Amino acid sequence: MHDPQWIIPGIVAPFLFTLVMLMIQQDSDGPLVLRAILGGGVLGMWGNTIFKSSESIMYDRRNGTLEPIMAALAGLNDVIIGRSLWNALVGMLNGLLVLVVAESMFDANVRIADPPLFLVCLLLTLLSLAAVGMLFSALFVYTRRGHMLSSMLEYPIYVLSGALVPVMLLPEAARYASFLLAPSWGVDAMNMAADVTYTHSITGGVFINLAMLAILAVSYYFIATALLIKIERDIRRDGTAVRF
Amino acid sequence: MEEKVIVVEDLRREFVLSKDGKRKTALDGISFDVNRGEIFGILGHNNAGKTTLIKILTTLLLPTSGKAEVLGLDVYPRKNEKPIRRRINVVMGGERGLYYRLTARQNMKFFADLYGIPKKTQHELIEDLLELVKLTPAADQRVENFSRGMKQRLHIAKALVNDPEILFLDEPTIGMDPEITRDVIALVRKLAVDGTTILLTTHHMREAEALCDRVAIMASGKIVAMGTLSELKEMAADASIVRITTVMDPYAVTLLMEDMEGISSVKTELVSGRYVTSVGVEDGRAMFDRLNTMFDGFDIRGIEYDDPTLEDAYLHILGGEGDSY
Amino acid sequence: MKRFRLRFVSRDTFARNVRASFSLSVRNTFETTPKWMWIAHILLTSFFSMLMFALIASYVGNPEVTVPYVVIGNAVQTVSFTTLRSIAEIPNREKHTGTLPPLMAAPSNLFEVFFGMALFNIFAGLVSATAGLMYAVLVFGVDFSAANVPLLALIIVMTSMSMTGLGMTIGGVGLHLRTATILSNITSYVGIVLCGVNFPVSYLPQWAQALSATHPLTYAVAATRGAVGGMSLAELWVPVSIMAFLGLFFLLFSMLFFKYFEEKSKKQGTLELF
Repeated sequence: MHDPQWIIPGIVAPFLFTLVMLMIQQDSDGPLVLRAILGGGVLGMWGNTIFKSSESIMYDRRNGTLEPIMAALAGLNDVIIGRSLWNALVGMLNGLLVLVVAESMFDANVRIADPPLFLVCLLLTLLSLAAVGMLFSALFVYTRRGHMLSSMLEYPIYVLSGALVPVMLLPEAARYASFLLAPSWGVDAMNMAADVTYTHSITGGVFINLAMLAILAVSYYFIATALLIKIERDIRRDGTAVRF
Repeated sequence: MEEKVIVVEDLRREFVLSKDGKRKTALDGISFDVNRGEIFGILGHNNAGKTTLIKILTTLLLPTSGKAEVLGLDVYPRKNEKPIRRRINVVMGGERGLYYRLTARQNMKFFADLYGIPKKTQHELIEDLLELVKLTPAADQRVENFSRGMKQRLHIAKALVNDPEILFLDEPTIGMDPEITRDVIALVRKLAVDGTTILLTTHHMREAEALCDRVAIMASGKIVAMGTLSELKEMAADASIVRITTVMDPYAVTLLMEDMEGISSVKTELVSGRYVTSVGVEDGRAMFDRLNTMFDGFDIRGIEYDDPTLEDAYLHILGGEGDSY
Repeated sequence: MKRFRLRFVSRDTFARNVRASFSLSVRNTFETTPKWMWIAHILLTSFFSMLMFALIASYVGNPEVTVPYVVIGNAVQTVSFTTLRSIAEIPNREKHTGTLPPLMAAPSNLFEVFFGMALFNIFAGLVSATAGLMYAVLVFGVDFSAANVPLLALIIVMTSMSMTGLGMTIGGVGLHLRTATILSNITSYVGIVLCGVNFPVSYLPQWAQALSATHPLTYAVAATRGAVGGMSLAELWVPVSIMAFLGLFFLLFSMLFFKYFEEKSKKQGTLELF
């Protein structure tokens, strides 16, 4: 595919959402600016994860490389872990880009209250996104409609991520769905670390958040692994990998 | 006098390769005619200009200069595009170019519509065409599940929806197994018997030999020889062919032979575990004993004279230009 | 074996080519995607995009940008996703299946084929806009008591149609520049900033306001807000007619563009690159 399509969910869309929030706010100062800019970064990381986890397998289907991957000693699982980590990392770069552009464009005054703690939260959020990426990839191997599903997930996840609007301000049903997403806990923790005036945190404690994040991310990992093992068997049985 | 349905005179096509104006000549002033009902073959290696020629004649590409008429209509003016397209069709073949999520029948129907086939006759037409290419059992399967050969046959059926007066086939059997190749050849022959003019490109000598009334041999954008099969073979007839079958690869000897006096071409093929070396010589009788001695060390299993085949003619005509394919 | 000689030349017509490509595109859509998924995609995406901006609006609390304001804006904006983006993708999709050369070799012209394929997306746009307005009433509690419903319906239909023109143009240009997907996505996303969907156009810098004036969505959003507020066609004829004009303009432009595209690839031999 010639188009670098990932820039849409990874950079363009998150940047525009940040822009919308800043434009509605009509002010380049205050905690909401921090939220808009940080939120854009987080959306970039998320968007990249969703898109890449469907795209990479679609790409393999199209190219006919899904079978060689399955045939290789490393197996689907290892390849997908590697890719998910890499995609999360690229996602962070996208996030940083959104952040830098938004900040310089609006000349916003963004200060992080506790930079080391913020960094720890960011890294853990990144790892939890890699785990999400694995889980999605496992689901997307199964379907030929990865693109459709991933674009269907985009907006719900933007809402549930707590990136622009804190999780605790979501409607109740959405809030509980959000609690199931490991990165939401990370985003909440990042907000606590960055902004002492942040009053919407889920637990009130950064480390409780990070513990929740870890528990969820590890369970994703195990679910994804189990799924991939099952999927590999199913594909071998039904021979659906060769079509695209 | 026979009706000429394709007339090409001094046709040139250049491509601009890069921004600094580097150009490549794909067709370098070629001329030929095709008569109605004829199967005309364009034979040549990759990059000889065959596909460019097909594109020009099917109105997908404009020539740089020269004359190209299809069914009496010049391919240049835009107004001739549709009248030409309605009366011809083209098989570009390959894995792509079909709606792979749709069935064979749905693909056919769409193109039948685009070619303006009335709804009333469409159904019967599509049934007939699918039967003609032996796809009736697969008519309602999605194309993505088709084998390469099935896709190629569907490409051909699709190209027949408008009952073209001229059918252009670009490498119709490329990458196909022998059985399907045979089917496609039989199909093309049948179309010709029914009165369709056929222009096909190929780099398979046997295909051309099995099908074509006349053949043009192209190399580097030029037609280097043209004629009926027997005329082309005639050109090579001054050279007789000696075929030597050996158990071992006579590579060492053939390498030496390339520069030898009186030898015009050497080619070795592996046929069912035996090395068959065809040597084009000016005087077979004089060379026979000499070749026998030369190949002695490779365990000769047979040595014979033969009339030249199209392949021999091709090699002879291309001389140094054509390496074995 | 029966012989199938027809030996006739049928006139190809605009209507026939459009109809054939329309039904092909419907089939192709539902062969790829089950119907429930297609509907679910539209319903989910329009709902969550509205929810997201509604949450942002209520969180930020700008008195000028209320929840009903962004909810209506985004209900209309969903047309941009379902219609504009999908239509702009059509030529690109043909490129990927490798069906562009056989389409060009056929006597029908490209514009007719693509236009027929696009018609289905007008319908999709109607579905999403209707769903969006339903959400506005039922979920977000926007007051529709004064709404001019027939006018609203007219505006929604026209919005979908004018997006078709823009979509065809972008699809053509994208095919030409070989960046169709990015271009179509950017154009449909940029609407959320540029077209008064989430905040008044007057917040934008001058140059951006000039851009927004060329986008049919800007007028669609303004007219929809007006009709929801109970304005009549007499009061809204300016945005409505500008929207119609822009839609037609882009449609004509795309028609000329595809002609140019065909000519150019014939001249330069770039067909196989696409």
